[in-house]
Amino acid sequence: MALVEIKGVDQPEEVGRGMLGCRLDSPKPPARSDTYGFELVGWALAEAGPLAKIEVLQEGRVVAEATPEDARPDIATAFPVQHADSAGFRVSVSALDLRQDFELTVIARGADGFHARIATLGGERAPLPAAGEGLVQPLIVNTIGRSGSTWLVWLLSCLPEAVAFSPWARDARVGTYWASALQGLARPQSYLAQLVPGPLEDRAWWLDRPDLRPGVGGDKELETWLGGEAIESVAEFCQSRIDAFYARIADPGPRPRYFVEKHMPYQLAPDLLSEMYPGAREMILVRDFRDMLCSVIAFNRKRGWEGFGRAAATSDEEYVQTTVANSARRLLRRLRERGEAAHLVRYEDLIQKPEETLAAMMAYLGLDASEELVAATLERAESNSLDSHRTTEKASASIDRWKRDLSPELAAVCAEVLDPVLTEFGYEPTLALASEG
Amino acid sequence: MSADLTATAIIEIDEISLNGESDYVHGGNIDTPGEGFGGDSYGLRIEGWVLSKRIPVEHVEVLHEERPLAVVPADLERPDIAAGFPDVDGADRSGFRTTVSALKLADRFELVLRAKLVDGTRLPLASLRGRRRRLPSGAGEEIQPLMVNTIGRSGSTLLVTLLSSHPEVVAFSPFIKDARVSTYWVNVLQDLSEPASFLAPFDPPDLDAVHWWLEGGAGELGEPEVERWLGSGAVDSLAGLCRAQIEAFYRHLAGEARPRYFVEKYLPHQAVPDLLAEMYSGAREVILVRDFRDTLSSVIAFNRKRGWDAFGRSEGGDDAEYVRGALRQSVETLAERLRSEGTGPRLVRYEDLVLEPEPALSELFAALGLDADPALVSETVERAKQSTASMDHHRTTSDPAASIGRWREDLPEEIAAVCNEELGPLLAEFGYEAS
Repeated sequence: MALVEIKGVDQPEEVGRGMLGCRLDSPKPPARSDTYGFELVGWALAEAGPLAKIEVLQEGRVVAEATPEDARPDIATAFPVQHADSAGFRVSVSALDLRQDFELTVIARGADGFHARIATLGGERAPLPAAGEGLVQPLIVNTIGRSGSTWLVWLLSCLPEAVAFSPWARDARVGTYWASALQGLARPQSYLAQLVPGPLEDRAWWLDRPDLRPGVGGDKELETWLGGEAIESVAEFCQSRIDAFYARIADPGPRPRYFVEKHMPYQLAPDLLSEMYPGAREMILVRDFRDMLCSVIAFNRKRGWEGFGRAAATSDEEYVQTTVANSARRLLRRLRERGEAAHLVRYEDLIQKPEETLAAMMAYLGLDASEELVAATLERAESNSLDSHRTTEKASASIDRWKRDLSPELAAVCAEVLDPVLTEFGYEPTLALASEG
Repeated sequence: MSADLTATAIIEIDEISLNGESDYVHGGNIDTPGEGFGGDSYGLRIEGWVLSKRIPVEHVEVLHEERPLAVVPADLERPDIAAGFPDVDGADRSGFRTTVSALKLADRFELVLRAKLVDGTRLPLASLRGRRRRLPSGAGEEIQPLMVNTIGRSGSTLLVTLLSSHPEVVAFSPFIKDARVSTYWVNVLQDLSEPASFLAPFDPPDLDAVHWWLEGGAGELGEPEVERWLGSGAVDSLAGLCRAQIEAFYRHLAGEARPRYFVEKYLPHQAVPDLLAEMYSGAREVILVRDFRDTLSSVIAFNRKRGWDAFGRSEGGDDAEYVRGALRQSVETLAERLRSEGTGPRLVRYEDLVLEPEPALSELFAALGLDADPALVSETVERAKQSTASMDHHRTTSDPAASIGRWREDLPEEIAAVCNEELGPLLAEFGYEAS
């Protein structure tokens, strides 16, 4: 069975501005790969001179890249410019860096920031085999920072069937750690180094060898095994490490059913963990993104440095237009993709209707959601103070804080870019409230 | 053996020597660990201070067997040193701290700390002698490592090909590729066993950094029991999983066959053979040597043939420097390994392998517990000859026998003299005549 299938490739018919030409020669759809990876082969030639990189982007993030430097005498013949003879590129893409249904954009990038699209590809990869029914299963809290995730992780960890590592003191990402290790070891730039080692003095020789391309080992069958079955074995290896950690920190008594960790909307870890564990559960936690924005601004001010992606933006307006809007849209897309497999939790419900909201979560998790158990869990959770984490006096006071904290200018930006997503998640749009006001 | 470690210790420090004040430094100290320290994790934290007199300290280096394990700045706040040296600039920020993984150390080790001054001067600060616990070994039912420990251009490809031509030994295309499957997984183990990695999941500073899971951990976890387990029991389990990955590779490669050994090459400076010898109860080591002057001639010729320097021969360095440095150090390490009984090493001389392959192999097979029936040995040699028929790209002489004693023609007189001076006793120890 193919592990990756390329279903479509779209290439611009006209040459982009600043380019002399470009082409993705392979894969040609429908193309299949028997490993968790495939290679993009083509050429790209810019007017200004040699290109710095070929980048492969998924959801705006680089998932693979290479320097175009392969000999292409055919291109040199067709284009009599000096840099045409090395216009070829080959980019190894690891499927474990991709969503199951993926869309990739291949771009040529110049050293001066210039870039041009070469192609767009669509395809599908096989999920990792689900294994480990008897292991502690992931309970994924997929959310944006300052949405109440620490409270939710703490609350869930108060369930007798769930475990989390010191939610108030630490932001543990053990599942993400091992998913990242799996992704690292699953790249051809790593696993092929077993067959063709580089300078062993170089610490990264086993991890990051951009010179290694499919076929370098000279044994197709063995490379297919390394890029397929062996990766699945590494996935089990990683699962066993996650399980050992949570078994270690769990209270004495019956094994917990779930380990709870936070994840971010752009990460692949929730996808990989959901594939690997047959009993994985995912909660999509949202909070009115305008309140979340106020909380980010206040929290950053309180601790004296910019977190939650704010440092990448030059202003709060830009932050809303880029990081906040993208994250909110990703969460919405995630909710739609996962359908009934995921459970939506609104922070406001968690604070204002805790019994009802917790009972619904427990039912989703397949746990006894009796009134007594819900009440006992809430009592256990509420006995903990969260002063250091708060930016308002009471959790309930943080709801709708944006109405007093946000400047009209910032509220207008929120209205423009967030209203459609807010509506989808059941929040009142900014514009409607402004017109009422 | 490290059996005399206390029951719970993973690492113990037996002796610390400090160099104290000199023309260059007011002083320095290792505050942690102290003599008699017993650590319950494979991570060894080293803290101290150093205060230079005139030329500032660029960084502090931690070396094991002359190779740097860690390089750290000496700029941490030390109010106690500032109080002790009130008139010395920089005394308030003279501290350093680093953590090294014990899995990068031999089970009996010596760490050397030295300060590098901004003018390039390197000053020894201290040395720490200690021991670490050995990794737990497997059940012995796995395909065991047969480790060819050698210096490049000593005929290791020939030996690995010969060994893998025996039906009880497996290797991946030894003549075409230089596979290092076990080194790969042991390096994975070593790097994931660094506190910088196993503490990375807790408050990771930047999940977007490419290798955050290898380098993102800093500080302490705040839960000593969990941290101790991450640095000890979890590391032992990880070693078992890495062993399982090596096993899966060689089982797949062997197909229906049930080999006793997988054979791979290793370099003298690597800790990998030590760790494999701990992880596998039936690991065996072969020390392959060749007259080191011929090795040198071959290195020079091979580097010239392919146009770039390798085998530890630094770019732009001269041959005498190479002999005095990298080559001598490698030969000394091989001699020390041969003298020790840790892995029951077996010496093989390249010259014997080339001139009289069947007796040399017969003896080696017998020592390794492999079938050494004369007919099988002949078949093995024949099979290897067929595999190596297209070996031209690897050779720097017309035939292997002609390469023996090539140094007499190839090496300039002054380099031969340096070899004699630097390697004379070691040549004799391995059964070669010094000139």
